[in-house]
Amino acid sequence: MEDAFVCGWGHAHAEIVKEEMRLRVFASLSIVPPRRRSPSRCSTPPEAMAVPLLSKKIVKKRVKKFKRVQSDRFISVKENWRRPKGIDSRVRRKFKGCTLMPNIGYGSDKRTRHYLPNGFKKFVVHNVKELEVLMMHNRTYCAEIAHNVSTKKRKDIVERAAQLDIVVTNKLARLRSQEEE
Amino acid sequence: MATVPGQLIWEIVKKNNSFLVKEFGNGTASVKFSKEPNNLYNLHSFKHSGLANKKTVTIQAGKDQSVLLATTKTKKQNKPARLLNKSLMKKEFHRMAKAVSNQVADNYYRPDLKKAALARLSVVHRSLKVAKSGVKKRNRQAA
Repeated sequence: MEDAFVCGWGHAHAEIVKEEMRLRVFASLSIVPPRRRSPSRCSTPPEAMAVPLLSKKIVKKRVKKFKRVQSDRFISVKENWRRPKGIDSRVRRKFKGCTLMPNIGYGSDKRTRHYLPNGFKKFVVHNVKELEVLMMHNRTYCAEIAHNVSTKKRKDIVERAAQLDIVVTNKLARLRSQEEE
Repeated sequence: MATVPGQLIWEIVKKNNSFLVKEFGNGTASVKFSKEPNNLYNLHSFKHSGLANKKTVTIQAGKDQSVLLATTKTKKQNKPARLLNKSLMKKEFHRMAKAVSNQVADNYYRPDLKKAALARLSVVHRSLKVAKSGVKKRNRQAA
């Protein structure tokens, strides 16, 4: 396709294109050092396992809440978002300076969706057996111990997680009562 | 595990079974894992399923610093007690890796699972080492 384009442009133009190509080659030659740097940039030490695989930066397009229109004026109108439906509503008609409405454009990148700030996805774990499921996924998933697990069993889970190099988000939970004993 | 076709078993078992661990959520937030011992990646899928395949590979920690490698026998499918070809490996790592790739891929048993088997072997091996020497104080997870 591109070749056909170049041919269609006539000879003089083709020469210009050629020159551009040459320039580009030179440019690429001079750029060689930074390219060599790029593999070292994703610096994963050979032994480091529980480092998240996620290389993309997590971007949240908006972190503020969308508040319901006029929730500041009436107690009965709560802050939880409801779409304005009135025929005259300024917000619904998206006038300048009105509160913003949520829409699908605010969604996160599919590749970083559901990732925690630590670069892992969360998986709720109730016992050691469920933790071992994450054995082969310890660079994408981290474990979170369920809220109703006792201190004794928490210790087992945390210990096993350290062996399998799985990150536990709440591994310090319920530790204090244990130390006070 | 049984003498009916694996595809049929998978259709029966894929919706729910005792090994299934689910996390609910919309779209990519939901995930399905499997607790089966003979599921190398612990993934809920036909390829990795230990129930639906005639040939499966198990790699898990055995007694004192050994790694258990087990493969299923295709001709004992209706005798679950005698189903597994077990072998305990206690050698150094590269020898165990050789044994695993021999038993899984080089004899054309499940060549598609070679990479998974070796990956799991290294994880199990490392976990055994950590269990023996104790977790280091300077833990990467603490940060």
